Amino acid sequence: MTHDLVIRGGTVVDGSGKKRFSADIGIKDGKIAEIGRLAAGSGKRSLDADGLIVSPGFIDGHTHMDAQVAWDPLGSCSCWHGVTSVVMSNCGFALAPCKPEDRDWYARCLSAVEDIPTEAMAAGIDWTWETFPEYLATVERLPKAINYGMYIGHSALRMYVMGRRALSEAATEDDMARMAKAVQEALKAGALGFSSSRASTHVTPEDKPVASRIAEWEEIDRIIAAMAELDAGIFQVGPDIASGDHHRRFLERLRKVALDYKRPIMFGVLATKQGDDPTGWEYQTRYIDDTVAAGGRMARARRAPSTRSSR
Amino acid sequence: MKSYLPFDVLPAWKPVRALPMDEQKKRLRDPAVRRALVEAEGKMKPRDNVFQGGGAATTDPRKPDYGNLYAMKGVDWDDPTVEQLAKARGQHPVEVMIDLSLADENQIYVQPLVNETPDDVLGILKHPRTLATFSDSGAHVCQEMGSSLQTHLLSYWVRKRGAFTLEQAVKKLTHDNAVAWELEGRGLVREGYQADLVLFEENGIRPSLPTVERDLPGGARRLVQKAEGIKATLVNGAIAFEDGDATGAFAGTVLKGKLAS
Repeated sequence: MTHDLVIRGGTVVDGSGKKRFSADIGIKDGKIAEIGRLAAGSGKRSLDADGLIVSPGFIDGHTHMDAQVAWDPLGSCSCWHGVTSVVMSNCGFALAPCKPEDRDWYARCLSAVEDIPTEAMAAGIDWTWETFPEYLATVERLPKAINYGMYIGHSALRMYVMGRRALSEAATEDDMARMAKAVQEALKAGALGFSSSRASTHVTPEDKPVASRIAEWEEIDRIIAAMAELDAGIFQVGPDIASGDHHRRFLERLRKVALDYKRPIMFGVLATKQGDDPTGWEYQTRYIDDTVAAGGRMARARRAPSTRSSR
Repeated sequence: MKSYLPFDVLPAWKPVRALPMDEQKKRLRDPAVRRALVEAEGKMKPRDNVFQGGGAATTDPRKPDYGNLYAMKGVDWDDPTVEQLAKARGQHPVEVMIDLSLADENQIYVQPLVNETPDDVLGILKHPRTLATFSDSGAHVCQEMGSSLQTHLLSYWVRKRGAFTLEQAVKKLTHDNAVAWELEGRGLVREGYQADLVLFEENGIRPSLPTVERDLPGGARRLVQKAEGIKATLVNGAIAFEDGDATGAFAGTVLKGKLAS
């Protein structure tokens, strides 16, 4: 077989956790085509990996590249650290769906919470989208050195469906139905799931809670139920760590979501010595163990499938 | 100094910090100005029990916790705190920060918000259901560089601390995350998998220290952090980075959930 590229003489650490081995890697049409001792001349091009480790590209599941992807085709600074795939739109902050009249507000919110300069967003983003599928299609067209996955973000979705009411009011039955439908459409377009935040640090430029924090848990239940109906989608949520008590109440309510709908849940294990009666990390990992033992799905490491390589 | 300091919003600091860099340095060496700047710090809001995120920490800062504020000199998590330096030099912590900034305008100060100690982080990393992720890349561009978490895991936790084997650490950064985010055909070196690969020196991979650059659209500033010891990074079979430089290959794609892929 003639490969497009052969990586020669490297030590492969294959990502499974198993012991390293020496092998050449033949690549064709963007995929790994062959692993083993490959004959000289079996590739159109070769890359010398003598003395080097060859591993899968690193994957980062929590980023906010939503704005930057519009102006930075490289994916810095993650791209300088061996990262080949990132997941963006975490904690409900996203640039879609978004009505044209709200663009400035979304940018200011991103600036207030995530410290992305508004001037960079004003100069660097060509807003060509309104819906989530349109945003995904835009990212698909942009030049990208690395891969991007994305969620549909709760604060964006809530603003889109409810307008300014999203910043102060509970969702009506109709609002919730529209949000659930939009989440299902996003999953069908390629969203990896739905992200939200209950974090007290997530505030608008006016120092008020961001839209996702106004939502009753009932609204979150409805959205996660919509994902469960399609048997797809991850739920990512920023925890409320305003105090130990807030944190523990948040985790308990999240447990109900995990057990009722069985969708995989991701949240940051954030231990801190700041704040009032903070919750230690041991409490949080115990909580994850207990929730999983009860039938919930939370992130976990898994054994890699066995190797099919020809070595 | 090129980015921001927690004192920047104080009335005594604002006019100084608005000056061009050379002018600022002159003023920061002037004893009378320094006295006024140190005194202004005394009027900052005291630390309280409100947990502040990155946004509020810049617009409504509390007096820094100098015992939890590290003056970065390297990437090995053994930097002194500003409090320790102040004691050793017999200086006020603000003066320490001014002097270090004058000596190196890229001097970075780090105040961990969460998971503050190496022991906490190790405990979390060792748990079988946690994931080594959450760089927050793209956000807090003037404040922190979680973007280096992958190279940090390999240089600090694997090489310096011996907490994980290279094989275990690579699994955390690749297969574990691919499974968690349901990214089919990624995260392993296997025939038929996407050729997303990284070639690196086992004993050389490490994050570099961040620098402050004004390279965002409109000239906005951010921290930029690169790494050493990475020979090449391949994305979907194309060499996207070689010897630290982008090659101009843009083979990246959108990672879609299972209903669309």
